[in-house]
Amino acid sequence: MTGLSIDVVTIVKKEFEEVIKNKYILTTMASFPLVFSIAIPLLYLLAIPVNVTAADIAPFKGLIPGAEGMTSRQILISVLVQSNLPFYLLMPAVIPTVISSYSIVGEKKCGTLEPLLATPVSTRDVLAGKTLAAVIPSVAITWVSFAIYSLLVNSMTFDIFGYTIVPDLIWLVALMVTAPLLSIMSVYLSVVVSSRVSDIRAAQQVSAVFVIPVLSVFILELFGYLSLTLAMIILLSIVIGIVDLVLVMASARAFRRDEILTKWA
Amino acid sequence: MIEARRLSRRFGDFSAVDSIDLEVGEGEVFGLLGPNGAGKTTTVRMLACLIRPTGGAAYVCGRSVYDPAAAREIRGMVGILTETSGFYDELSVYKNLRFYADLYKMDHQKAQQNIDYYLRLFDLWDVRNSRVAGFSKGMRQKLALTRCLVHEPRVVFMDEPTSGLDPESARIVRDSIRSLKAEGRTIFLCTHNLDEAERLCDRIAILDKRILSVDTPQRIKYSAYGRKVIVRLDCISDRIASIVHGMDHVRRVESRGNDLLIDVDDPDTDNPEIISAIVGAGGRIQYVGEQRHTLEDAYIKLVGDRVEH
Repeated sequence: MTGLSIDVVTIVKKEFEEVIKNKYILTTMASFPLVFSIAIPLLYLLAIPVNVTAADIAPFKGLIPGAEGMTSRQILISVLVQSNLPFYLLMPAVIPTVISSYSIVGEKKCGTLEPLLATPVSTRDVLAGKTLAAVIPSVAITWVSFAIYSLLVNSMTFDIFGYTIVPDLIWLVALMVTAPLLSIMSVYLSVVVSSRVSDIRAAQQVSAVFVIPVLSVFILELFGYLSLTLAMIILLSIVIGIVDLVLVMASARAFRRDEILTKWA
Repeated sequence: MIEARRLSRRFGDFSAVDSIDLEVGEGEVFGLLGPNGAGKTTTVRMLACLIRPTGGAAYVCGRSVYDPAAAREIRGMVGILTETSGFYDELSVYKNLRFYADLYKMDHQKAQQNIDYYLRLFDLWDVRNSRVAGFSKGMRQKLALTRCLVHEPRVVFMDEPTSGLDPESARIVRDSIRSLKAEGRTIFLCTHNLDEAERLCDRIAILDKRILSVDTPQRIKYSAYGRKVIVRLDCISDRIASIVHGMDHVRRVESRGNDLLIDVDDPDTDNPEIISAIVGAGGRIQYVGEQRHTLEDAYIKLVGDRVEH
């Protein structure tokens, strides 16, 4: 197949129309930038004291590249700003589970799967449409959130650093490569889980798979045990890419007309 | 238009449809009757290329349901009114229908024209911009019919088309089925409404995993009960009964009060001779008629016999 088929575009368009009318999904999506891009950075940036001593930043020594020429306050800010990166990997993983659990299990519950599959649309296009309809807004929200975060952080720290501190290469790779891959992983995991359950809430539990590792990384960063490096992000992206391929194949098997209609509907 | 040969579908050890043979012609209204769990929905799903058969062969519009490319073509040429009329509740009537019309690759103008036509026909025009959420079962059913017909399918599979409809709407639907037939479309109707099946269908199949009978509604009734002529006399004598019983084409005679119940093959041919024989034997005939059985009687007899065996 070259490019997107018209059917995929039709499905994506319809899914978007449904998403913007679903208050639950909209609230969930809007809460991410509010919490992670505004509330949390404001909280810690305002809480950083003016006088930060070398002892205060001892646990973070060696974790920030190029920290040699920085003041203790700058190092602390850099650590805190960097420690937020896992949240921007959490967003593209969690938001799709909210959308896709509705778009797949929802179809199942509302009895719309059979009429949809009765059309000449291919199952591959149905799956592609639903995947894109979940991935696009999730990645878009992540990027918009990051734009807000960057704006807020840079405006509050420019006086301290004299230059903008985000985004750096790690952030860019994480947002441009890892985030979409994670989003795809999340959607396909939802598809596989949705084929086994008939409850939207059960399908949404997929997000738990992502929350625990991401929070662990955040905590490890916050306590100075870990700092995400470019190599780690690239390696993570490769691993997620491989998992994505496996999940795409598994979901193609789960998302077959016969299976869907006799087991899902 | 539809042909099935030894068509079967198993789900693991369970046989949902067992080796059925069907042939439905162009412009025919064909009814599929059967108790719950008889395999009607599975049959429709196989013929509409929603699920694959596990045995036999089937062709719709000359294409095999097994061939994946042909299956897509078949889905584009058939319309299906499913058992549950599910819609995207948050979207308007119009947007729901546009979505399906787009998936059927309809020309924008033609889609618009057909949507408008059916919305007016089924009295949904005033709610075309309303969300489907909150619609009554009847409104949903009419909307589902619109969805099923909007792309002008050559074959229409309908599962309980008048279910949940008020009498007026049900009549509109039945008239639409007749119009579709007049246009040369093939209608495959699954229903529990035997009166409706009798009124609409050219032929009927009674299914209970296997086909129990396929014929016109009239012939199904005759095959289940035979044809029985009732002759009411002012007085029945043994002589008259014996003369009638001795006639070649009379299979059985039963006296019930002043009525003679006579089993024959074809009353149109046999009645004149019977009447003449009774009159010749001195009988005074008050009334001659045919004992009527409904399709429901025949259906229950056929399905009941199957259960007993």
